[in-house]
Amino acid sequence: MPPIPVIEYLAVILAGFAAWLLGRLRPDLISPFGDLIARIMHNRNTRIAVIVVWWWLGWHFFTV
Amino acid sequence: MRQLLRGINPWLPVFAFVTMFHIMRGSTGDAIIFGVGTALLIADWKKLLKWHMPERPKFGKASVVIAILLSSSILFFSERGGWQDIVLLLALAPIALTMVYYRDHGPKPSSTRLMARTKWIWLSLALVMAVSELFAYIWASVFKDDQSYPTISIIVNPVLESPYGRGIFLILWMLIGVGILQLWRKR
Repeated sequence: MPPIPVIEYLAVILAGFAAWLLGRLRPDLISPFGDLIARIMHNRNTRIAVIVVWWWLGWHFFTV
Repeated sequence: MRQLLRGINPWLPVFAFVTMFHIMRGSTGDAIIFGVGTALLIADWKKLLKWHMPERPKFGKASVVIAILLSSSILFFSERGGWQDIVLLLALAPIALTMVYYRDHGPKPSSTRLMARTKWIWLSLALVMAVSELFAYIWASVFKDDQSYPTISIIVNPVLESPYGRGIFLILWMLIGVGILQLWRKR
């Protein structure tokens, strides 16, 4: 059996995939992921925060 | 106090917390990155940055693909954590910031029940992931066992040690950036 954190990560990834798929197949139940991104990226302060987190992930994985 | 905090972005306390967390765990580099992020958010929120606010930059699909392939090949042919990787990431930082630092257009879209539900679903997933990773880090530190309590870094490290893994991972990471910035989204 894989370690508990691995099960948790996989569960979140699977749930995320299900949410993404549901957004495409049943947009009346949950908005498509692209629409959510468009909504939250409307605000400049949020755009800065999201892009800093994205860049940090790259820095963390590629340079450390 | 209410006057002082008016218009605060919910990301700001999150960034401040993450900065403190990295300071406490002695990760100077991460603390600096999130500290700078916190400062940028405060400066933008309080309108301390007085420079010209440009229009949204536009990039062609071909130039984005070339940038991704070029960056991927740099990581493929260099040592992990080598100076080439550091220079590449440092060069990407101002480019990425430039691409999000533009004037907001039009009124803020009103929040429907559907969008609120969607936000909560994704926020919950992100929180579960963050808490899982945090507890894995804590247990791994307490029990000195990062095999039974692996963080995501521990899991992906072997992949990133290979040039192929690094190249593919960078393409995925940059495509996520393209998605976040909505560079290819039809308007």
